[in-house]
Amino acid sequence: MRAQIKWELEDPYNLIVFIFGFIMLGITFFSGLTSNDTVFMIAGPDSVIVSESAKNIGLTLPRLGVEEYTIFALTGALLVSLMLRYDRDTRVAKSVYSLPVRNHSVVLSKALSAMVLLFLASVLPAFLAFIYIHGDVPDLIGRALFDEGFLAGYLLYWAMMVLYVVSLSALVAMLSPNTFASLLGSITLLYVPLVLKLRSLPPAVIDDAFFKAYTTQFYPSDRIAAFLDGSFNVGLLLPVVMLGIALILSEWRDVS
Amino acid sequence: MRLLKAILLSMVIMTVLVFPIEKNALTQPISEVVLMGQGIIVPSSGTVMLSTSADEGTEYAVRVFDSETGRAVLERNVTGSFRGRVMLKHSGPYYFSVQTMTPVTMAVRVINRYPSVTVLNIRYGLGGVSALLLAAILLVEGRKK
Repeated sequence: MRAQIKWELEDPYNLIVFIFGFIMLGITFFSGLTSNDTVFMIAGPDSVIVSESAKNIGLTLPRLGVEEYTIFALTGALLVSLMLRYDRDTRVAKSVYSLPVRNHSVVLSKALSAMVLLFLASVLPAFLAFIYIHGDVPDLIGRALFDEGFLAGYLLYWAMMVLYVVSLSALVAMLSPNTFASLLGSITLLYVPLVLKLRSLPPAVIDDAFFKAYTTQFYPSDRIAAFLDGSFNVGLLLPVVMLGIALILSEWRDVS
Repeated sequence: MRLLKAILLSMVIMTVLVFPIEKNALTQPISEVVLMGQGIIVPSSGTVMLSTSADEGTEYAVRVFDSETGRAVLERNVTGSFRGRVMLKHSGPYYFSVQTMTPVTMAVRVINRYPSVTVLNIRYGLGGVSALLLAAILLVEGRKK
């Protein structure tokens, strides 16, 4: 499994998609951060103002809006379709899946490496864009990330988004007849909640839970708990179930 | 190793692309109206034009507080109307307030926006280091072959 993940992480096609996602997401985050200023109301002594400022600078950490989600979903769907479907189309898979490992382990390692790549392609440019704009306020950034507990919640936010996109695409890839269908299908399914403005499905539900947790709770542990509480069903449970179904399907379906 | 190279390459490309994007975005001035107290997170440094207006003879205090250094950039007791300018040395949150019992409005307008020296140093530093690392890796790999 480790060899498989290593192989997938070094695959040039996957890395081209990775570079595409990284740069496009980075540019979108950056232009989103430069174009608007954030206004917030506070009153009180200076210490209150400073802590409130740290919270608000934490809330400006780039998250997935409509534009960003488009690129994010596209990158995720491309990566997963390339990994899980393309090798089956080109018959390379026959030599991979005939190795003495179970099919589901191969699929799982492919899904895991897709998660690693997508996570890196979103978290790194997010921090890079943020530092490239707000890098001259190191004290406040430090406060926001560690004292206000933004770092853990923010990484969790991305982990959930990545898990959702990769699991959904993996399930579609396992069901579809070829790469093209898999790509179209997963992009459509990832896009439906955005077009229909469904607040009960990702990305809206995870984003809402994050925002709510960090604006209504005061202590970092309460914030993480509130975030998990608001997003557990659709942010963690649903993707894990989808990934499970994809793994079972990979055992049933012949490699062809 | 390819993954590392991909990350470094994307960092270099992104750093280069950041400059033209910022140039377009920073031509827009920021303007806000403050009634009592308000924090504003600005994504760049710049010059702020402040103008407050109140009835003739009303006394109040105008204050611009920098949350990063924890000091007030401007603190002044004013009578009547006031016009002033403040330099914002870095990006990030600033707190604008007028302390008074009577209604006073303050118009805040950030003009001449530009990235601060620290931010530029960070960009050049990170971009340069990743470019050098990438070059070094490519050189070492080329030599092996």
